Amino acid sequence: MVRNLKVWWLVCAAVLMSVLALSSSALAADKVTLRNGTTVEGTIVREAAGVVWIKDASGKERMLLPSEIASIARGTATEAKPETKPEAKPEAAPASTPAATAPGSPAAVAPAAAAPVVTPSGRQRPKAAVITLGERGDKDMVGLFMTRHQLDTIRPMLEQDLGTDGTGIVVFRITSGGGALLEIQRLSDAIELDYKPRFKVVAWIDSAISAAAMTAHAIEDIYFTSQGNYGACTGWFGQLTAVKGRELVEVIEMMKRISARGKHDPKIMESMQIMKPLSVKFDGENTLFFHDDVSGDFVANPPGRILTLNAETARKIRFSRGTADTLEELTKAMGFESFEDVEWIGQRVPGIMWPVSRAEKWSMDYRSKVKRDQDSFQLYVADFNRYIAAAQDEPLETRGQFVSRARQELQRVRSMMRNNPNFLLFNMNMLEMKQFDEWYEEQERLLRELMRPR
Amino acid sequence: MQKSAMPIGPTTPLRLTLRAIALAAGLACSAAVPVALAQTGTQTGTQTAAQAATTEDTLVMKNGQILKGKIVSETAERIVFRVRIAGMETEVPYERSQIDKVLRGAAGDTTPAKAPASDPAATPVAPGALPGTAPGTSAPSSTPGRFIEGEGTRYYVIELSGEFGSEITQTPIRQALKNAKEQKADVVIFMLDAKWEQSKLEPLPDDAANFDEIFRAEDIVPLFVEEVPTTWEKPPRIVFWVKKAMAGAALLPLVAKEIYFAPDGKIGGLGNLTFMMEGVGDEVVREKQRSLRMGHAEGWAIRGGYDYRLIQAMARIEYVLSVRYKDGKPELFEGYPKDPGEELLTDSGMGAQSDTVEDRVNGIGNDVLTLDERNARLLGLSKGTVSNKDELLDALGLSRGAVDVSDRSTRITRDWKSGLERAQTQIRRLMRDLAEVRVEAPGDYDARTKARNQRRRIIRDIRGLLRQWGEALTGRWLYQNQIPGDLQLEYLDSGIEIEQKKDKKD
Repeated sequence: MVRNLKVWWLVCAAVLMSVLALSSSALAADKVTLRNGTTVEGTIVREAAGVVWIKDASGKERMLLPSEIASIARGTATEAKPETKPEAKPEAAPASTPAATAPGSPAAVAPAAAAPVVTPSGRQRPKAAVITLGERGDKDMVGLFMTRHQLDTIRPMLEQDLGTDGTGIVVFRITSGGGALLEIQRLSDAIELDYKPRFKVVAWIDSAISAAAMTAHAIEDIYFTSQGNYGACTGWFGQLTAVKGRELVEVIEMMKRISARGKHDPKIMESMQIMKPLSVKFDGENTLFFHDDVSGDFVANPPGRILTLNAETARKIRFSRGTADTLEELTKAMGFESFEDVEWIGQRVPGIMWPVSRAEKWSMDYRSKVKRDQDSFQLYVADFNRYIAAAQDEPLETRGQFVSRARQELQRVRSMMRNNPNFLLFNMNMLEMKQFDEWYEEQERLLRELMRPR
Repeated sequence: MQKSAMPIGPTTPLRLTLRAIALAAGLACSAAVPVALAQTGTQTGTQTAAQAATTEDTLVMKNGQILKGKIVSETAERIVFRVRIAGMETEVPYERSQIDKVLRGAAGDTTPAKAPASDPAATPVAPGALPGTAPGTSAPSSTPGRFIEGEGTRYYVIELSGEFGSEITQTPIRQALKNAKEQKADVVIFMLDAKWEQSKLEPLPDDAANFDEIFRAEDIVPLFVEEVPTTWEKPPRIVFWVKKAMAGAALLPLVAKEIYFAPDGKIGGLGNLTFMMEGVGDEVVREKQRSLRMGHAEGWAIRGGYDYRLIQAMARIEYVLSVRYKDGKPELFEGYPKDPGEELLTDSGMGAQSDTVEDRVNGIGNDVLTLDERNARLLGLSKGTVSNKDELLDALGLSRGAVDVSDRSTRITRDWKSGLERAQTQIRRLMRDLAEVRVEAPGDYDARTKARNQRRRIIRDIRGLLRQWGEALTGRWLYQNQIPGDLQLEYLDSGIEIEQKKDKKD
């Protein structure tokens, strides 16, 4: 009976969803043409400072930056936007864009930045935060310094600071020379499944080599710094031995799926992984076709090479949406008219180019601790063993000081694993914390044993 | 080594013109006339400075130079300007594309009239007036931009000489930049002459290379492109003068918009990428390694505003790059020259095209590109060739009227070098001391304790020195002197601590 009820509710819910979808679809008359030539149809539900939030027929809301938008054709959906209200500067709308205010007229209009701006939920401008993934100074390895754990931990902070209604922008500033293959899917999933539904996600590339590029590939909006580099994704191990056979196919297939998440042509990533040429044929301003040979107008990767994009080649093949060296430049590259159009959250810190938010501060501290632990792990373990050995040689009455120091070292190891669970695999050859907890408990037991009179 | 399809020299009228322009550019850079020094052929000794100022023409160049002299003739493309260099008058043609503003002298001006109105570089102004100023306003005091007033320009010179990565390294550069900031410098000039030698007795040839030093340079270049812009209220112009910038040092000037060369200046030493890691592992992984390295180096060149293909030519032997000139501007293209006026920069370097030993010894090989004063100037990378600091200041318009605020610069770099030398001596001595601390039998508990404490003190001192000077202590030096790493020293220290805890009074 309970099962039947459940089924009944599921049927009802499905019917209701279909009705909602249909009615939504009936109202969905707005059409946004993107600069990459694709269109997004649905109902524009919010606009602010040129940013457009559009809900498609499935009910999925998508945030579009001004830099993405080529034109907007507005339909009959005016009455379907109850949560929007006119911005304070309606006169800013150009008189020559009647379609912007003429229901039923599907004519293309100027980019959204020039259209009447409506603020979402009374907010005047989108909030945004820069989050660094990796940094210089040997704090850049994917899997150690750039981890899913970091993304999971800071997400609630970002939700508090930026909201979860999709109006916040998270800019991942990436500086990494690559790292562990195993972390790519996990990072990609966090970006795709946890971040994208809540925030507009942008990548700002300082250096994204190998696993770092493969991580950033789940992101559509990619900007470069002038010195930015992105690619060289060939998997290898040991003495420069390439990943081959089934393993290679698996990685290539994984990256095809991640390319789809970022809406990037899979040929780009493939030429970063294996020595496959890549060229681009341009067809009009917004359309281009990728070829895995050299027949295109521009050869991005000649035969016999592995592709690493720089700011210019990335721009040329329209992989990068713009080049920005400062936050001001990034704001503009994202299509905002001025820096003030975005509220960058966090505190200004001398020598850092962006305000440091709570989530960013956590990320910086996290990497510092990981670095300390990485450098000192061998010492923690060596000292642990030496203090145990010393304790074993001591009579019971003087043994305590050695056991106590051994315990200190053991706790350091535990703190290290808690801070970065990937150390489990890299340093302890363990897959999960449970294994470590068991190991830890066993060491504790040994220490207790040492203090017990025989 | 394949030679150019056509001789490099000017064989056609077009080439002749280009050669003349290139020569002129060289002269212009080496002879930038400072405001106070500038004199025209028509000026007499009885003129006051104010009179001189109002009868002179001024060219404000896009690179910040201010040239005082007389416009002799002008076309839509260029202005021929009469200036006095080293006491001699000479006429130098300047491309309008290099000129930001033309400021014409007062009435009585004998120069030809206005340039074509369509030329933005030659905005017509009333005689004696500057754009946007009332007629009669004196030129020097009202010229726009902070470099117009030569007297007020504050420049700071940092000499970067010695071994790259130890003597030329981030800490002294950061300290000097901090001092320059305190001095409110408008222009920071780096004079770069990095040692290029195997050892003190064995200099390296120009075709030697060490591409991976670029990663050491990445510790330094962010100072110029990130720290300065974010910590200075008004970031200064950064100028590099290059005498020797090989391998890692090559990257430093490439992030600056303004580079000048010494007559024997060189940027290179990156040409070993093709054969890097040869024979190890799989080719696809080796290629990945090359590719990512190129990505790094190209990026910094782009950051400085230079064509990244120059880096390809500097690093990859098989890369073929040539140049042609269009309207006096260099245009790089991949492949061999086909038309007259095109010049080969680097050939494929393989087989018959491989540089001969003679080519290499004489520094004329073209398997990889080494930038010298000529090609750097022709390729638009160098703004001019100057022999020394005085000529550089001339070229920058800073030799008169500008203020040298270099303050502690020399002391900072000198102190770093001497401090490093002392630290190295000290570390070596401490290592010897550490080995020599012994407790002679039958040492008692106090003697053992004393010895252990002494050893721990020495270890602490070594670790302190390694932390302080670590960035400058190269792997080679550490290896040669058998200096353990910090972790090993900590391990040693902690072992002594345990030993002491275990020890009992006799």
